[in-house]
Amino acid sequence: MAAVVRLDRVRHTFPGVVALDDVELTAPPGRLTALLGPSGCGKTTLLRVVAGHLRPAAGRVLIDGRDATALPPERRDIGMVFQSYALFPHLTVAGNVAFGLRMRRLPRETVRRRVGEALDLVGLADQAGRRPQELSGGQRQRVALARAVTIRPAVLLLDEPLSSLDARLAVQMRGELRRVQRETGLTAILVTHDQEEALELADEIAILDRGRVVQHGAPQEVFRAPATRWVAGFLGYENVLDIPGKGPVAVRPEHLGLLRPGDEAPGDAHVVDGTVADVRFRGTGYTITFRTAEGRSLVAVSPDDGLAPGAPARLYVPLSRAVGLEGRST
Amino acid sequence: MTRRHPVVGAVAAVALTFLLGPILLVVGVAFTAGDTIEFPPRGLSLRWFAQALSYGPFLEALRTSLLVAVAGTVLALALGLPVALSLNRGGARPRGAIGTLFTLPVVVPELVLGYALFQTLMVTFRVSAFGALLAGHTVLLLPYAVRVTGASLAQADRSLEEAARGLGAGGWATFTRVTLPVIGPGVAAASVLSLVTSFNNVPLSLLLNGPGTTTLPVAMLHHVEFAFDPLVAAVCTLLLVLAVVVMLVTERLAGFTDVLARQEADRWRP
Amino acid sequence: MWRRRTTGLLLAPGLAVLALVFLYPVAVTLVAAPAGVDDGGLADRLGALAADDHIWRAAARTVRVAALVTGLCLLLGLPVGFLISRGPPRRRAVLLALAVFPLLLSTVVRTYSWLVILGRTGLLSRALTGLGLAERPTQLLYTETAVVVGLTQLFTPLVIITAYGAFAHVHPDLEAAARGLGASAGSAFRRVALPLALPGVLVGATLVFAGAVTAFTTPLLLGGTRTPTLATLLYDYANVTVDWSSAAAVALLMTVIVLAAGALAARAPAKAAPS
Repeated sequence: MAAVVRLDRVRHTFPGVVALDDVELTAPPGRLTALLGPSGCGKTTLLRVVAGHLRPAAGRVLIDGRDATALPPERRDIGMVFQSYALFPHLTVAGNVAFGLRMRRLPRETVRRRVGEALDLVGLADQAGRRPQELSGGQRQRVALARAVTIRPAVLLLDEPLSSLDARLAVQMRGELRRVQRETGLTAILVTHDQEEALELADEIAILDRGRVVQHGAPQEVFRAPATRWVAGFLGYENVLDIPGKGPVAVRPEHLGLLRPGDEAPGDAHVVDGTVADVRFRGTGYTITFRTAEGRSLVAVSPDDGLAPGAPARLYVPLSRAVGLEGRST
Repeated sequence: MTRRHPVVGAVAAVALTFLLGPILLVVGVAFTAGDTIEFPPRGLSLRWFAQALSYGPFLEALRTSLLVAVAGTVLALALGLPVALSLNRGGARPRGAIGTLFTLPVVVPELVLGYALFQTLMVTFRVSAFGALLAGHTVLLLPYAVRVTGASLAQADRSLEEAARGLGAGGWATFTRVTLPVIGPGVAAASVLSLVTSFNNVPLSLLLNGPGTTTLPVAMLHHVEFAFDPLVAAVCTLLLVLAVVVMLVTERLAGFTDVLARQEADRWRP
Repeated sequence: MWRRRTTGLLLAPGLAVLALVFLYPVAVTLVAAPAGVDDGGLADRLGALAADDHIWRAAARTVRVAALVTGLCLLLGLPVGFLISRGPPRRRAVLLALAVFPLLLSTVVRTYSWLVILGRTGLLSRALTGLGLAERPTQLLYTETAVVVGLTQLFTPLVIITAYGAFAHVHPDLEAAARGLGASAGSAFRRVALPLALPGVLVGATLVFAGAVTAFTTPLLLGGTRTPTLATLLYDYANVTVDWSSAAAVALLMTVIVLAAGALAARAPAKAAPS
């Protein structure tokens, strides 16, 4: 049932913007691939092309090896969860979930049973008779998910499915989303701008920038070894500094260590001298900005303050945490 | 482009042709050199335009139409804007009922209103035909004035007025210096709508007819009923040009379609 | 906060004019008898109604024509409204302007064009004889069909505008969702866009029906005296035969039909309307 989705040199432009720039991408069967990128990078356009709501200017969309580029959306066998959920306000929860089954002219009894199964899967069996507008945000999200999976699609597309929920609920729903995808075994493509969400949910991550896939791989791999300076910056490698013999490297704030007077730096670390420029409280600790002797700005996190702006400080960078940027494109 | 059903496009093309085609036909007829309403025209000439522009009854009717339209619009706004203010700002109650009352003149058939005004104003109270005509048009335009300016008031941010009051402006100063400028586009829209509605009206103008109160549409109607020459086609063409000008000017001033377009401009963007 | 007196002063002139120039005249004309007029009031009017076969035939024709016109306007206007609501901004602006434009023209101007097309020496008649479909010039004017055609052209813009507004409020994602779930374009329109736009569409339909029932210029010019509607009959009674009792009776009937249509439409969409 799970299908491979392959994009073959897909290109699309809007007036004045290249939204998709010869995108090559394969989403492997039964796995969840996240398209991660800032707003305007083309990820939603890409999803609409896969779903068939937008016809690309060039290139092919292959679903299970079959060229689907010219197929209308209703013949692609794709389940999609929209950012707005797009629940039909004139139908009940059950009516929404049954819609795709009715379009397939399944027998009444089958429709009833599968709607029941889908609502059980998302834990909304008791809400079947209500209207979408009577539900909470999280419940609506589940209905949208149930509606998409109940047609047993070849591919499940998720367009920023958690972005309209408040932060806590969104984190809670991640688990739910992952569970449903695993239980159904569907090939899924998730569009998100939230790297934490992508890292936690995805089997594979493709990072998009200005209509191009700039890196594609397992979450750990992408996170530990950003392919370009831009990806490093996007993934939170805020500090860039020069290490003799290693060239420019990128380091995450939480990997910068702070040396107390008298402390010894670990053996495989590079030490930087500077002064404290700014200290900000952020709940679990402090965000501290340093100014190095060469005038660079570095950001670190520390569990306690004890530092005042203007105080001299020593930082160290474990070499294993420094991502070399030499030779990488910007 | 997003996929669309081809049938929708085809029906839309047919509908727009049906809507606009006949109107354009009249333009062709107006340029005829012949004496009858005919398309395609028999030879080309401007003689019917020349005749229309020098035809006394039409010119006098045009004067009447313009006078009634402008006076009716001014009166309707002068009466309607205060009503809209009292409903949207003054807390007049019961708001719903009063609001409904002021929409009634467009609900009752115009012909019925015309007949009623003819009976009471002209027959019973011996009001002059012009007086009755002006009164009729004013009351017909009143709902537009109340509703359109009321919608602007409802949309306008009330905190602007509260801020003005807090800065020391009195009620009148707040109205003239803050409220009126803010709802200006709404007042302009109501004016254009009223002018067009009054200028084009037939039923009221026809029934409240008297010496010297024939409006242009009524004069055209009478002419068409009794003569089959292309004189009215020429007038129609001139009115068509006028309508295009009105459309372009209101588009420029109020940006009518532009506002609608911008509202959803970014919907298809990624 | 406003003083009550200010509110009252603002409201008073408008209310006074409304009462004097609208409420009183209409009420008196429809249900009572104005002073100095030889008319016995409501009883007389109902008597005139019951006795006059002429009125009932005109009423039947009026309702028939209005229903037909409403149907045709929906048929033509809905696709255009839908197309406008889903088009790119530039196309939307142009189409909307084209659809709105006729509303700036007098009904006399808009109806006049049909004289050119439907008259004995008109475009259609000559086309028919030219193609050998008719032997002699045909008079297509002064028929019920001519009235229906003229009114349909007159009122289609109303459906386009209201349908456009209604469809613009239906999020395109809803149709996209329906398509993704297996609905064809037509099916997505029928099952999703149309039901959601129905309340707005119904408003448009009511406007058209009421407009067609009360339309005067078009039935007068295209229907003539041979196919009277309530409106032309009212004019006839009031201005030509000066039968004020019958005129008032027709006015009453026309008003009742329009108000009934409005009331009916106001109740209908409660079920389908999404909150």
